[in-house]
Amino acid sequence: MTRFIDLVLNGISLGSVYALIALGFVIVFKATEVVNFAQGSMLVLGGYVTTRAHDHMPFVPALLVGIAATAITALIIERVLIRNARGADVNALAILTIGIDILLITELTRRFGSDVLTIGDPWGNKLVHLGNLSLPQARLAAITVAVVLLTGFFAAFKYSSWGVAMRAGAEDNEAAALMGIRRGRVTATAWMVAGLLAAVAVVFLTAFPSPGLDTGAREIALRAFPAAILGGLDSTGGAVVGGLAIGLAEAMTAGYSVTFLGGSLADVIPYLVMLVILLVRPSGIFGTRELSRV
Amino acid sequence: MLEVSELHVSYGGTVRALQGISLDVPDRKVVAVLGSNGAGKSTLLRTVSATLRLHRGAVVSGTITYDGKSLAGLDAARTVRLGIVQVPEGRRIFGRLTVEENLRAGGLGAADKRSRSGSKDRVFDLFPILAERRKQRAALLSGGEQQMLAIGRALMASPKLIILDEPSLGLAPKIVGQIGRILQTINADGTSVLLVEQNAVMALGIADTAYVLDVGRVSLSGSAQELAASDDVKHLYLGHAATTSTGARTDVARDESLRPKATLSRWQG
Ligand SMILES: Nc1ncnc2c1ncn2[C@@H]1O[C@H](COP(=O)(O)OP(=O)(O)O)[C@@H](O)[C@H]1O
Ligand SMILES: [Mg+2]
Repeated sequence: MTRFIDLVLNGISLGSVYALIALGFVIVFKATEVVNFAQGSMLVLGGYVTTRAHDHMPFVPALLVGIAATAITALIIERVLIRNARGADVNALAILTIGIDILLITELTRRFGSDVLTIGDPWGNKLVHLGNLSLPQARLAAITVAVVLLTGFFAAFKYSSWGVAMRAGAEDNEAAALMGIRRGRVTATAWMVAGLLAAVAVVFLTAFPSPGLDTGAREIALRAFPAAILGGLDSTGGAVVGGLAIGLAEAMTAGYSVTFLGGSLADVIPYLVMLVILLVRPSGIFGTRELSRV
Repeated sequence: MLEVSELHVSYGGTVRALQGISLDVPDRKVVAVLGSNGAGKSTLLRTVSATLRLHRGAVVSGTITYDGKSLAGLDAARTVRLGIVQVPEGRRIFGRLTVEENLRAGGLGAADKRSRSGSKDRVFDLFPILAERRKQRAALLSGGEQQMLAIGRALMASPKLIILDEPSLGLAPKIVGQIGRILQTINADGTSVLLVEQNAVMALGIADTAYVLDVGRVSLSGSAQELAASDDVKHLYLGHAATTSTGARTDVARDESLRPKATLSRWQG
């Protein structure tokens, strides 16, 4: 039983990190109808900048530098590439983001070499003891930070002018334009928020007990993609549900060492869960648009 | 205040939707633009509101000025901030947003942000039903209520010129009458109105001047009374529409039974 609770907590912790990344996919998709495949390497970039900044300053300011760098990179991608190509086919733009992803990750790989960096988070390898359970502090911190960020995001999405503009534009872009809503500002903000979420998520993706930060974090981050799709690529709530579902499924299958086709089921479970959900609901659990539009 | 002169517009460089349109919307007046489906009415309004690009259309030549200043090169948001706000064809309300959020979206482009709460009170005065339903999802409103929301949403930006693309489309005669009266009230409060319609009875009933568009050209223009009395308009738009629609249009608004049979006098009181 202890083991089970331990795995559930692990799953929720991992799931809330996936939820942050998946939300980044979803808001960019809602704002621009583009699937941002560069999200994974943006996340590695955030981790890299935070780590390097941490050489010169305490962790929290370093993280702020990492967040700023990632958000600005996202903004540049939006301004220079997505915006100038507006009117281009969204599939072409999605492929463009794959190009950006490759570019970014190639440069980052060159900089990393074969190093595994420690991001320098304040939780280190400390444990929290709850009765029989002992849980890494970083895992609890992940849940707490995710709850705070997600609550903040959903409040802004529901009540702020940006949120209203974003939802109006996602529903009917032309009508929103006729209301004088500047789409450019809405999309720029959406990309920056996605950057911010990625830069925070990377901290927890690489914190103890994970070995640290290398470019492999990109592949782990991309597991949030099935999370976003199974929740519904245009559903912010779906991103959270999808993230948690994938996190839990992964923690359970890894914890009980389930094997599948000769390998660990945990490695493929995000995609399996996604496939099963899409067979039943082609637009995801809460989504309104089918994946064929992507 | 709005002057359109010799406007030529094409889509994708090939379809010539407007071929030399000139028209005038004087300050504080109501101007009607009539024309059957495909005449170029929506294209005209898209050009004014700077949303042509979203339809891959472009101005070939001609000018549009507003208070003497050219609108060329302005984007939709700038146009709204100048005080020109459009109620699009088919209402296009945000169905997943609540009534109140729709109104809030309408106020996001207002030139003067402080005027928003006053605008909202005014909208709720004009459309009490919207106040009652403020927390409901807009998709749950009836067609008439959605049209009222679309107009209310536009009013949130405090327009000096409100332009409407077929607001009577698909609505029951009684509701069309109500919309007509509300447009008169909005106009009486000092807002100029450019009203595009296929429903000539309603439009000519409230307009000061009117233009008839025919495949991208102005075929008739004059005071609303003159046009209402002209044989062409009578024949084309006042009760004989079904015989001349040549099947170009199949939706319900063209259905004779849904069109108001009221006479013009009903609108002149
Ligand atoms: N997005 C578009 N692309 C190509 N042609 C268009 C487009 N929109 C309208 N048209 C054409 O332009 C002409 C005028 O259309 P429109 O302005 O919508 O007329 P109306 O509003 O009077 O019904 C029609 O021939 C129509 O087929
Ligand atoms: Mg039209």
